[in-house]
Amino acid sequence: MTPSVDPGVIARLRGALSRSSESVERRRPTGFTALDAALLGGLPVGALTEVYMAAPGAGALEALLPCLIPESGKSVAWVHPSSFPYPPALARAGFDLSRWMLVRPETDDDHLWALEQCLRSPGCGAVVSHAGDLPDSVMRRLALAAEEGGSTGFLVRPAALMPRPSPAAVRLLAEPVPSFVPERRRMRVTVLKCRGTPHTPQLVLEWNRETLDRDAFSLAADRTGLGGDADARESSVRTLHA
Amino acid sequence: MVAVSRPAWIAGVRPGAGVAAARSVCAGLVVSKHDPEADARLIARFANFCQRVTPDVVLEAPDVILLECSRTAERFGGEDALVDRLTRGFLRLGHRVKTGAACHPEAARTLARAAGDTHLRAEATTTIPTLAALPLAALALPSSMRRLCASLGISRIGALLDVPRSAWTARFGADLGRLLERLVGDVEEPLRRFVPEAAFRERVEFSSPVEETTPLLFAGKRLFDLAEAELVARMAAVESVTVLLETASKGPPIRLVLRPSAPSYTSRRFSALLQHRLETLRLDVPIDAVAATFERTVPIRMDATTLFEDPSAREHRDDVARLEERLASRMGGHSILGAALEEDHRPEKAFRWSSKTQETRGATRRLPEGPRPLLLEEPPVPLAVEEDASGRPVRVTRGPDRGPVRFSRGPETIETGWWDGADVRRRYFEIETAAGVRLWIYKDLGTGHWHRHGAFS
Repeated sequence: MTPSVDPGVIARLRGALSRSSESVERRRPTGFTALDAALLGGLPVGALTEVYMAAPGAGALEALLPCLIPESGKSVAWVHPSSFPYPPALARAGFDLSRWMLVRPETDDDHLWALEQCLRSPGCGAVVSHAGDLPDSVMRRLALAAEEGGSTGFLVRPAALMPRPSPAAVRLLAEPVPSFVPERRRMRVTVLKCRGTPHTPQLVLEWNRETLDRDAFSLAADRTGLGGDADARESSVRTLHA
Repeated sequence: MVAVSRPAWIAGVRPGAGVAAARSVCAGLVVSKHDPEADARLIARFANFCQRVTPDVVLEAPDVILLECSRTAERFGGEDALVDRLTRGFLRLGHRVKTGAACHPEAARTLARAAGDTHLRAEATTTIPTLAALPLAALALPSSMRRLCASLGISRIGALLDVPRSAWTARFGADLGRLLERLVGDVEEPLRRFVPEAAFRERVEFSSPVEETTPLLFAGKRLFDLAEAELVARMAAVESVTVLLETASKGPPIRLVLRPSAPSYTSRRFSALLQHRLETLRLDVPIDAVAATFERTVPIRMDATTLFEDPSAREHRDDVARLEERLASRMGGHSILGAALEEDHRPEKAFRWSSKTQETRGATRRLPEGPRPLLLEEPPVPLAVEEDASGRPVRVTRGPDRGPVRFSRGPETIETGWWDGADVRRRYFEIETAAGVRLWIYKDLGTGHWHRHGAFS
């Protein structure tokens, strides 16, 4: 049977998370040192982060969701018509369920509207949603809403949409990686874009779900070839749009 | 002079002095008129505020509040922690308080009077020596008595306590004798518990009558700010606010009743409601005062951790409430849900969604022992699995997760629910597929079929 999480571990992790937030833009540290370094401190506050998932069981939520634990008084909103997080697992990850809000829009219009409302509300520390193919103008509106509300927009998107440009400040690709020991999970993260830096490294994150131990190492310090191209491609597309 | 600021004190101004005399010592002295009623309102507000640490609050105008904390101190992590939080709470309100703690009221009052910026406390066994060391000024003596003691060369309380108790009244007179008896705890004092008023009223007058709605909104905002401080102090919210716009012609006032969708205490909410009402109001008479009555107060539930939270946290909570209101108004209340854990071993019943407006009663804080995936699939998806002789999954034979199982963790057997007909008998495993994807799967021990119940997403 798995040991349950010691609340002290969560407190320490949170402490470490809050201490390591030093950068121009406010960031939510992920606790993975190398990833935080690559992201200039963590996931941006007041902006969108896109996570392209190669497979649903890769572990991107498990690895990154804990950094969305909101500051005192704020809530996390999960906006989606059908998919929802499993509350006992959220509680395990250190979330206070009373600060969670599940928003279940029934139409696409309501989905985008609700997403925008949540992002714009100063009451939401973070907003999680799955986002399919959205027009550029909608993505920009969401990015603006996140900026106004000071929230972290966490959008899970299918990997097929990855080549499209996006106004998200951070874009990550999460891919499953076999782990060596059952207790420790692994996941490959490719930084596709991080506003403020041209570097787009590829990392392997390793963590223990029960102890919240986390570790990250770079596969290649800087995939200038690959990442740079992706970035250049994106900026050229944007120039065309402009 | 009733009270003087620190710079004025340094310049030589003392309470009790006349204004002219004070001005002669300190030329730049700024004098404002003493408003005893405002003082009384303020200390009543403080008494309200103190009720968040204990229900037993005694208000002693003009400047003392007694709290009986022995029963509630535990909740705050001890008496010192309680005092510390209270002091910081007052600081946030913009006021410094001097605090003292002892086993009986007069000793506590005396310690508080003697306390500077640090809290003074005396244990039951150390009360007398602690008090004895304090300067005589800490004692609430009438000035005649104070002069008498000074002339006798008495400067510490100890000099009085050294005199045998039986001789106190004979030596110092009945008043001081009784005071000393209260000080050492020989006599019990009757105390009256502070009871706040249920409804209250605030009012502002305009210097000249107004005919525009904008100044009314500003005036309203001021009233609501005062009310918010009052309501927070009382840990209460109101169901309705009646705003009276008093006409300059002394005709009947215009009456606006504001009803927030849920009991509220925030100035922002009331202001928004008032603004909404004023937008549609046609003002055909000048208004010279605005009054607001806050009715039907209901207590707000707060626990020890939220009592002294940062005001911004409270604001965020309000923002969340507003957001929920906005979402519900377009999509319906059923679209905005909160989650609470339930004490049930069946994974799909180990929590419950509830409308955000409902109270989550009977929720458990107990977490399940085994691993749980962040995404649960409901209903579970049938999965073709090959198992070994011991019943562990070794291969997924069909579907997108097809391939050998790299390893499995478990099993966790869940057999329960016979009482409600939805009984389950399942053996759960966390598996890692060839690609490194982690799934939560189970074998139904009744049917022998395998299912995918979630992904460790």
